[in-house]
Amino acid sequence: MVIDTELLPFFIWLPLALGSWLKVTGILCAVAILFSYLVAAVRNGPVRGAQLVGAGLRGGIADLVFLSPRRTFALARLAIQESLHRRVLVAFALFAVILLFATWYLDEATDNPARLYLSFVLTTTTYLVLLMALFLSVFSLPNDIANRTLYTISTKPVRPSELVLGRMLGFALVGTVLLTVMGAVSYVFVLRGLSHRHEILPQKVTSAGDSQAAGPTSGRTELAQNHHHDFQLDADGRGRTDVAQGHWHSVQVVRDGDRVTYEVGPPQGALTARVPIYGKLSFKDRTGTPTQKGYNVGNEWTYRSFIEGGTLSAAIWHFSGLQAEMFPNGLPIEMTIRVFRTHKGDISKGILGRLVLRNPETGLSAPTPFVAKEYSTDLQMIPLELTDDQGKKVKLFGDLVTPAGQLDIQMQCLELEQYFGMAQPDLYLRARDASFTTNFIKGYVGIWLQMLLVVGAGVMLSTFLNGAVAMLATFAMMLAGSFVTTIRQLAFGELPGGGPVEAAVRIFTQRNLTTKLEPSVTTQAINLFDEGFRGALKTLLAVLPDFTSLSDTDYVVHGFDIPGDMLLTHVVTTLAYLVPIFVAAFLFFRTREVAR
Amino acid sequence: MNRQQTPFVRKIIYLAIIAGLLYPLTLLGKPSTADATGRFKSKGGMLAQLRDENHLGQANLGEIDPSSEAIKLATLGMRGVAVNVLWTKVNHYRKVEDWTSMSATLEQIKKLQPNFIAAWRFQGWNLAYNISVEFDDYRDRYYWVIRGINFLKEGTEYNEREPILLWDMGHFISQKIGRSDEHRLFRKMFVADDDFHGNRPYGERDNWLVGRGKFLETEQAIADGKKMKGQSPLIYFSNAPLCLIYYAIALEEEGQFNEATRNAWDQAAKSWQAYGQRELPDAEGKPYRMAEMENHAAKWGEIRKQLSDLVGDDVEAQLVAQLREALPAEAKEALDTRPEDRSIQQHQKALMAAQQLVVTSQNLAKAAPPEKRSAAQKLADEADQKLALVQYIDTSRNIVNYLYWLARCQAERTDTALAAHQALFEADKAYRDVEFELAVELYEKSFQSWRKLLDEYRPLMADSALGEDLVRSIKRYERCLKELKQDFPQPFILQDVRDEHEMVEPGTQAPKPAG
Repeated sequence: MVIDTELLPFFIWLPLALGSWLKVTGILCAVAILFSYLVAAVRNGPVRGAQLVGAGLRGGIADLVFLSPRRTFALARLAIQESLHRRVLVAFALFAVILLFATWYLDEATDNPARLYLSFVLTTTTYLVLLMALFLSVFSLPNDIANRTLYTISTKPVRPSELVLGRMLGFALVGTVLLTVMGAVSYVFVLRGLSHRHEILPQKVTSAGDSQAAGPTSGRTELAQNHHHDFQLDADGRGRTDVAQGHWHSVQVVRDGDRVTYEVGPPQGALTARVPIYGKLSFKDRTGTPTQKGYNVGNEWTYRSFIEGGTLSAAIWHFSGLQAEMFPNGLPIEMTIRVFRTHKGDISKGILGRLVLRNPETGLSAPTPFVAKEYSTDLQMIPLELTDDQGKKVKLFGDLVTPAGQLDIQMQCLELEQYFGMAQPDLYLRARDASFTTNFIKGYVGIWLQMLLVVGAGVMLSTFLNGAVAMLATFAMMLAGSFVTTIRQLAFGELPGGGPVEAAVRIFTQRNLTTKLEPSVTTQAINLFDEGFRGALKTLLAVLPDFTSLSDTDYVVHGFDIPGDMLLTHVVTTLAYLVPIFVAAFLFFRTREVAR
Repeated sequence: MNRQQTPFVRKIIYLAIIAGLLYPLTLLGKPSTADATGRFKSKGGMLAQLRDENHLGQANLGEIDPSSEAIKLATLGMRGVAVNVLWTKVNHYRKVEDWTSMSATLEQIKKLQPNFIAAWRFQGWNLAYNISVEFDDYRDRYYWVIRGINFLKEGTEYNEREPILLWDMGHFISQKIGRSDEHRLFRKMFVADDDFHGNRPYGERDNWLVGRGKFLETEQAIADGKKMKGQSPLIYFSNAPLCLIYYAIALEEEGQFNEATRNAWDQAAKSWQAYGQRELPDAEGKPYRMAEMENHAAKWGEIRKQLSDLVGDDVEAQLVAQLREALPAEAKEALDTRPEDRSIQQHQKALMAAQQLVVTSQNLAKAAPPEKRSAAQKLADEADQKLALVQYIDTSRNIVNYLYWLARCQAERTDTALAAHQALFEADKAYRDVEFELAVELYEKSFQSWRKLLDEYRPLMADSALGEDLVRSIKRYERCLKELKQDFPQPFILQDVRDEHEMVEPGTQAPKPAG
């Protein structure tokens, strides 16, 4: 799995984020107050508008302090009823129809069906739930105002804050229930979609002994879901298949008199939630000098760095916090590396490498050779007792891992003029496996957080815009929030081709992205406009929620446990957005005549 | 008519007009119907007939896939946009090496563009050639090559008997499996691939034979009226016979020197000869046969002789003398010097001068006496047409290496060739097994057979692949002699092969003498 940003532990992240939040919230509040004032001023004149905003702020604080949970929940119930009247269940029906026909479109020959199925259900759920949240949240208040039903409510002793919060809560609850049902259906869909059994025909089983009944046997299963497995059985008739399409099966011989049949178990290992321990990666160049990056072999994608074979070049992962009780059976190292050959060598064989486990304090080290496997997770189980460079026995915990739990794992390519490529997350210690079901739920929590943001933003924008415009504005926010990385690159000039004007000039003059524009007054004018545009983007970035960062579906899809720190970070981030959104919504709403 | 009846009457009139307009539409759009055997019972309306004539109906194109139709409709007319996004995504996933997502996106593209042939070709190539080489393990590479081939196969189901997709399949199966660096491993895996072959007997699973089958299907589709775009008939008709030739070569490379190999060469020879006899269209669409070049050349000679006789023998000699007179002094000197005494510059000058001394038929006709000029002109035109045809066939022959393969097929069927290959194969094996004495003995035996073969079939000398293979074996022979402390024989029996095909490493070439 590609992880290009390092995850900070929650309690290190929190103070940093809090500082930014206070700054951004301050700006957002100021903008909300300014907007409220402008709207009020346009409608009622500048003085009356200011009075209204001032009264709104005073009343707002009172409203927030004296907010009644009973009335809020009553209003939330109303919002739920309204949602049901507005055929919210259509979203679920649509989801069911999509799932019914999904197998038509899912590639049966894929090399990893679990990844494909999970990716499909998580993406579909995200889109549907977010769209549903969008439609529910943006039309409610404008419709109530247009139909004058809001007047009925506002004549009751209800605070505007309760009206806004009630709606937000109601829609969030509807979305939550819908998401839960979708999640449950998706879970069953994935399990059923991946479930299959292989048949084994006795004539396709070869025995090492004279008959099939004695000695270890091997063979190949029949085709099921577009794949086979090769398997090996021990003398007791038990064994397992190899890994194909990301899973394996147990195999057992069943004897009924002279008749021998083979029982193949359900797929295993497809749905996992690995809990990895990552180390910090550094490199050594071909002379053994430490560097931050390895070699670039000319790939367009520079995520991975390469080390040169047959030299001192190495990749070193520095681990800390390792304890013997975490690894009672040895150290399970999982790695997915890349191979780059400068010459073909022996095509039928993989490139040789070695992992050297090294004590960073004493320098004691023990090597383990391996043959590189690309695009698959290669498990190297390091025993608790190893042999060091001098051939002496050393203990993993005691000799190689320091008392503070530190260990360096150095990877080298042993073949001259061949290269290994790696990024930091490509090698990790598989400490344990968490429950897949829990991880699946965590993945849905990420979608839920995005839905809350859409509901909040939709309700907030609908307090001062009509339904259609609020929908477009919320949709634009969702869209922009899904492309935060690109917007950031654009804002900081990291994308080739310049800003909008420069890009337009390049299109019309048919110039490529890398050619520099000639220095001239026109170019200066272009740069000036683009700088202004970049400034606007930077301001937007300060308040725009990053929808992609809230989504943890990649972890579920690639079989990694979503770290608790990450989930907590996302929950707090969402809350940090929702609080100012609610306050701004409430203030906007108070400026409306109907709310008074 | 009272006021209350007016709207009702108006509605009736509207309905009548709508029905009146719909009637010709139903006639135009009436679908064609077929009986149980698939023959037309009714050709249908004009639209149905036009659709049929231009092969635009989905049923004309190939399999109708409900999922494909559903996804096309679901894009609500935004298919073009969706496809663009998906193609960009495929490129992105390829860049970030996310093969699962890339495959899933390809699946969506093919549903959205089932009849866009270029998409099938491009992505099939992408899978079999570009993605497969990203993997280090040859088994993974094979898996992606087969995925590429299967992708094309699916394309042929959506686009029934589309010649270019069938041709691509033939090309991938024959060339990618049979000639890539991993071909020895790929060929074995291909034969053992039950999933790909299904019930095909093992004896017919060789990639060259399966590839040939696809090329023959391509030829049949073209014969049935399908159009082959972007490929010359000269090339695509050569593929099936070439597959048989490469099949025979592969058998020899894998150490089979028996009747099966001889039969394979027999089949290859027959197939190549048949290709030479096949009627091919030239650039203007006129038919020609490569095997008939000699006949055409002889005919040209006859016409030219008639022309010379008509204008008088001395006229051509006079024209040559005039042309020679007009040559510069250096050119004349170069021509007068004996070829073996000419310098490099003189060789070039003599070559150019000889070309300038050629009397064209048109020049000859112009020099004819006035009373014979009309007849001479007719003969000159005829001669030029024949010459153009001969030159066209000669170029075509060179493009497909026609004469070389003809000679090779004839040579390889002989006992001498089989013996030469077998001895060389066994000698190479002995060399690898460090049995140098045996290797030397076998190499010498093989070289003698090769000498005989090359003397008999001179065009074989021109083949660089064969030449390089021989040079590699000669070097091994040299190393064996060195290990045995024996001198390399002088003169060497295959010295001409060595001179022609030995690659000189940069920097090791002896400096040329000054001047």
